[in-house]
Amino acid sequence: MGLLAKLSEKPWIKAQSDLDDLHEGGTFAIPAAWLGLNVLFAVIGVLFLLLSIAYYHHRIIHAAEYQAAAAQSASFLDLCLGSGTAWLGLPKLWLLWVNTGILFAGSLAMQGLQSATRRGEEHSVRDYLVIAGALTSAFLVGQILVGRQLAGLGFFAASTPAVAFFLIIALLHGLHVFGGLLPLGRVGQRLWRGDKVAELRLIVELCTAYWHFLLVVWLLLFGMLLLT
Amino acid sequence: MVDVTPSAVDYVAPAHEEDELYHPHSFLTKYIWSQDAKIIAIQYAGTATAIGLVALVLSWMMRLQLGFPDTFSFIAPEAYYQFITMHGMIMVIYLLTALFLGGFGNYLIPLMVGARDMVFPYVNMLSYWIYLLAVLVLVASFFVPGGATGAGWTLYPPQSILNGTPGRDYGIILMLASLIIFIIGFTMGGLNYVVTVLQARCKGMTLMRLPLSVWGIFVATILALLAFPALFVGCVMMLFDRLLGTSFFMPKIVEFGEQLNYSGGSPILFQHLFWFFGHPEVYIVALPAFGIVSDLISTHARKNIFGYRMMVWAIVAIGGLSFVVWAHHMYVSGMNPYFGFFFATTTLIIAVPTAIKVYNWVLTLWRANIHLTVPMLFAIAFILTFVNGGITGLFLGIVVVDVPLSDTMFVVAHFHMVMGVAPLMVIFGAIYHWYPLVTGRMLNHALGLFHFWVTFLGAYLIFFPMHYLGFIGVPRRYFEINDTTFVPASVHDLNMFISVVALIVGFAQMVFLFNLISSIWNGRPAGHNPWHATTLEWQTPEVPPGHGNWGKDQPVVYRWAYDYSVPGAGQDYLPQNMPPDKVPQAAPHRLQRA
Repeated sequence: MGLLAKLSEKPWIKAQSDLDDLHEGGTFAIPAAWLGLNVLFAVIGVLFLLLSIAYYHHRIIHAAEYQAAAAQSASFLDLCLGSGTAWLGLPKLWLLWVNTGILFAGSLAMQGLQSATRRGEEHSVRDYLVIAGALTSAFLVGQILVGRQLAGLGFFAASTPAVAFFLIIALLHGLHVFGGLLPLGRVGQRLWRGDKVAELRLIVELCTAYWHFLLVVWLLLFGMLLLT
Repeated sequence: MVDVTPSAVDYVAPAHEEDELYHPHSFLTKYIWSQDAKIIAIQYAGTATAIGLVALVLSWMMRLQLGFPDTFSFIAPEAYYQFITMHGMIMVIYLLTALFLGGFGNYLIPLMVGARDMVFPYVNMLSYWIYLLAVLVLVASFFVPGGATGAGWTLYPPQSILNGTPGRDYGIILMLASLIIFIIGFTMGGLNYVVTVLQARCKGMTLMRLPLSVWGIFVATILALLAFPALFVGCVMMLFDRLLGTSFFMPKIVEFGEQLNYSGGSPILFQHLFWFFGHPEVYIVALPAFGIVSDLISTHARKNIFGYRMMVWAIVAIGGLSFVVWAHHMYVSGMNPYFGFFFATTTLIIAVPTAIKVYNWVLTLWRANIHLTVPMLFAIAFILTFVNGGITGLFLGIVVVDVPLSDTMFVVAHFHMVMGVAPLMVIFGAIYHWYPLVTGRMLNHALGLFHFWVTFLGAYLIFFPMHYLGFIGVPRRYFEINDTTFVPASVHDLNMFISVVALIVGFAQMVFLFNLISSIWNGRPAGHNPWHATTLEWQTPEVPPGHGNWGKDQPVVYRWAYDYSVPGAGQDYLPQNMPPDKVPQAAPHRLQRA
């Protein structure tokens, strides 16, 4: 039944009341934790959507400068990493691509972890857990290195809004990834404590969805920064 | 009940994967690190009240300065701006939002939907402690070098992070950090409220059998979850500007004759982010108030709420529309006139569902068996105050009227009436209403009447004349207006009068606090369901409700929340969990008379 139909019910009418008496209480046939995660996705989605809108707002009020950059076939990151007409640091771009690849691999490892958990293969679960944790940590270290390189190039001092947008997006995304490591660590703790794999299924599925979600968010934001 | 054939209905079986309830084993886990929503609610309410009292004292300081300029040497101009800023931010975020959602939300949602607790109790506990951390960080800003920020509660850049603004060194940093922490904590609580309402209702509790209090808190929580990210983004970006020297909001600017290193940022962008949060924030506060006052009116008028479905739809519609009106706070920022037209139109449209609610409250009272209890007095006062504040909102929603009234005391009067006094009336009414449930004792009635009349009349004596100050152009946020040519001498007299009344109203709140505390021990025992209410929170086996709320078995709901004065029934209220075969029948002679 759709939301509108639900909101059109007249609970004071006897026939409707008789039907309502049969209601078991829940709204959706999914675990509460899944619904909670979906709500969290909406909140995080709004957060990054607003950042993207702020970025486009910045692009609009600086359209002339960006058009000049586009005339030189320079992307946003070129503009970030460039200074005036002397394009600095372009070789450093490869690290962002590597980080993106690591995040993608981390997501694949989480998918493997989920499959192994569903099959109940404890050894595979442990392996995938370590791999996913290591890859995710590597991604975070890689992002910190990118930040350090940008700082080393003096971009904080130059305070260009363009590089600032990249940094804030990377920082907030990285913090969300780091936040994901906490429940993943809990999975590890429970596994090593001796909990059965079947008991970990829900939390592993939630973590996997979270990893995929953050991968998609990163790809969209990275793509936006690359293509504009 | 009328017998009609409803359309096909599909019902969803609940998910039972998390039925296990956490059981505390020590004093610490029961009352301090508690995962029980009722204890968390009291923690939220206590903290919010404490910080709210700080904001109340700050408002006295402001009024002392405005009423008696050049009298108090400890109120310097810098301090005055700090008082304004902290008063506004504390009242809106740390008191009203926290009290409605963290306080009433935590206490009422599980009880009213028939759940044993929130669905994620541990996260719920974290939510409170993070809120407390946010409050402590905010309070810390009073004590750092330079003091708290004096940027005004809107924190507009560039002035908020430039030299010359009080608290520029550390105060603004702590304010932004505190807001960021608050939002993280709120998100944890908000997830709980939404998922608990959707997934943890007891058998028979359909969405349309929910009391309007739950609807108001539920929709307000969704608004908050979607609106707070805008403030979060704005705060993080401004923190970058302040600490790292980025230029999100900072244009090329000269400070004290010195060209700063900023360039290319947009101060208007912050205003958009702030108000994209800020206007829904009005409804984050108002919607729970709408819901709660509906239940107060229905219970104390012994009559079902008029137009229940319309009330639900109005809450949902107001929630949706609240996201497309934000720029009416920015008419003077230099926006495109077509934008102004758009936002003026949406602002007028949102008045329609709001007016529907007002009509329905009044029609609920029409020919009802009105009991003039203290909660009811506050509920009626809310309707009057909200209508007054809402109508002046229509003035400010129209661009051509808003422009001359911008930054005058008219604006101050308007928003204090509509989102200061009006929601506080509901909060007070709600406390008088649910205090017996929380403590098992009644509040003192005579002190309650004193509190009500002084607060209600006092609020009007404070804010009604303030509209006239605004009409003649008295600006807001001015430390002193001295002998400004267009300001007549009577303005000073009026300011003095308002200040004296403000102190008296503040004193009445101390009486209220005394009543709150002393009634814990001295209040008359409330017994079970003293207001004869229908909703589930009054139907618990113990009063106050024990851990797990419902004893051995969760309740089963058989009716909506507003079966008051049902014809043929032997009592004037039928609790939601009263089975049809247990409904007492009216004596035959009473039926004939009816």
